[in-house]
Amino acid sequence: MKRIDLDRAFPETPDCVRASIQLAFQKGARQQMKMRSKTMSLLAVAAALALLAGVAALAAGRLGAPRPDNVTLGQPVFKATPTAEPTVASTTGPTVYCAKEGKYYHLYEDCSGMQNASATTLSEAQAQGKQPCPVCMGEQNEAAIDGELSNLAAEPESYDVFLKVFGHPLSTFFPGFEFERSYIAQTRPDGFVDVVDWYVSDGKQEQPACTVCYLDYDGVRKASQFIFDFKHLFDHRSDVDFNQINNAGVSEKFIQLAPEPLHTALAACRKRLPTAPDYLSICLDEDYNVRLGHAICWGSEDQNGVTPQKASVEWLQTPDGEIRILKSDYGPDGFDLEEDTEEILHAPIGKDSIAEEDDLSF
Amino acid sequence: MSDQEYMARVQQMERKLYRIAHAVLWNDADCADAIQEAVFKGWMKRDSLREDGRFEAWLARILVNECRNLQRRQKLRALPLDDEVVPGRPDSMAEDMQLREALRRMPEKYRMPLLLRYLEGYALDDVGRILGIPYALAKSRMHQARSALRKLLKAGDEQI
Repeated sequence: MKRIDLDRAFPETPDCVRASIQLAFQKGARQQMKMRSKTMSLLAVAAALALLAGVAALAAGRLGAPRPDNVTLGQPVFKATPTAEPTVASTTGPTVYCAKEGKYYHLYEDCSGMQNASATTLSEAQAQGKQPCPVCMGEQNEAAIDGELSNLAAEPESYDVFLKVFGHPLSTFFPGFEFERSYIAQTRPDGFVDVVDWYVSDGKQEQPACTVCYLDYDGVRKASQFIFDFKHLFDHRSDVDFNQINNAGVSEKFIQLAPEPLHTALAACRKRLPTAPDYLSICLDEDYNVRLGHAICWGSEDQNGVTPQKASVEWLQTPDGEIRILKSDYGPDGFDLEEDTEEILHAPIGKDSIAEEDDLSF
Repeated sequence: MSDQEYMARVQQMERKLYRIAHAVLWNDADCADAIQEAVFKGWMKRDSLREDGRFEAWLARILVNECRNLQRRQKLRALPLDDEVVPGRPDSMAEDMQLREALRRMPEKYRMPLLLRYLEGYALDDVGRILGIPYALAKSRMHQARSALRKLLKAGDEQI
């Protein structure tokens, strides 16, 4: 048995690497100094402003300037309800509106046709456990002003659905992302489909996005598709009864967390079309369990039309955990999945699918 | 973590950082760039590290991300990475060229788990964290990487 020493594949650490580490330390120390001096400057400016405000207040008092009875420094314009014990938290901060039993607080008192909303402060609304309204508390407000939203704007359920998807164990890569609670609604010219976009942002320019499509074929609006990164969209409606299944096209990060059979299925496709771009998608059931997997490699036919355009595998996981191959597709003769199917069916889902070996020796 | 402590721990990891960067970029100059950026980012963000014991895996993760950023920028500049690999200096004779070639020919998604596990000694959980993949996938790739390396080394032996 030969023991492999992987270190022998690498050259000795060059001096330029050592130098680059030293440079990084210097750069870090400089940046730290810069940030400290910036903070000190800001503190100095804030102190000067506070001093000026104090002097101004003092001067106003000496001159006997009249002060409205109901307004004191630091108080908002509206009055607290007489039954509520006024506190610092309830009398400062921006004004928002909420209904007594409502789940959200709003920017406008008549948001989405809301009635009987009362004004309160943002901090008070948050203290009561209310959430920002997905309709009026962000960019969506601009869309509403533009008249794009119509009655779809009153669809707070979509945000719950969105969060449920991102809260799914498969999406554990997303907690670091911030949801921009905004959406743009569009109606296709045929009038059938409403699309609601929820964006997530990791604070960088490249923003993954999620689109929730609301299909309106039967007059009942239902979330039917979640599309991540827009490009991974597959429609399995012809293969599965989608009354209770939501279709999810998924991002690369989402895919990495998908159950093992999906990766094995993809490997089977790659074996046939190794150079073709590949995609994966999963479908979630009404409880957001992964129920359907679809692996596909898209190729293009060669000059003789020999190379098939795609290789794909679809599998369904039944509620009792059984994996069933629904369909395989590869060229005019189909996709001989006899060997691969065995591999896919027997690929366990979970941590201990492959025994780990402690050292690298063959 | 104090400045001195951070510097000492990074210096202890110097060889490790180089091998990780080299396994992705195969080019000393690029490695130096990626390591510099990663060490700088680590310096600025070290307060966000909650578990001290995870320092090495945390910095390795930053480095892998930096290497990938560099690769992406090179792709945008239309420089095919593999064709542009120019070693900064001749490789040492002590290196096992056959092993090196086998690793180079192996896809990165297999090469990295293999190196992180068997060369750098990270647990599979950490390998997954560093590469941003789940445990099960890291384990599966490790398995495939072992098979691939065995095949590549065997093919090399036959050529000789």
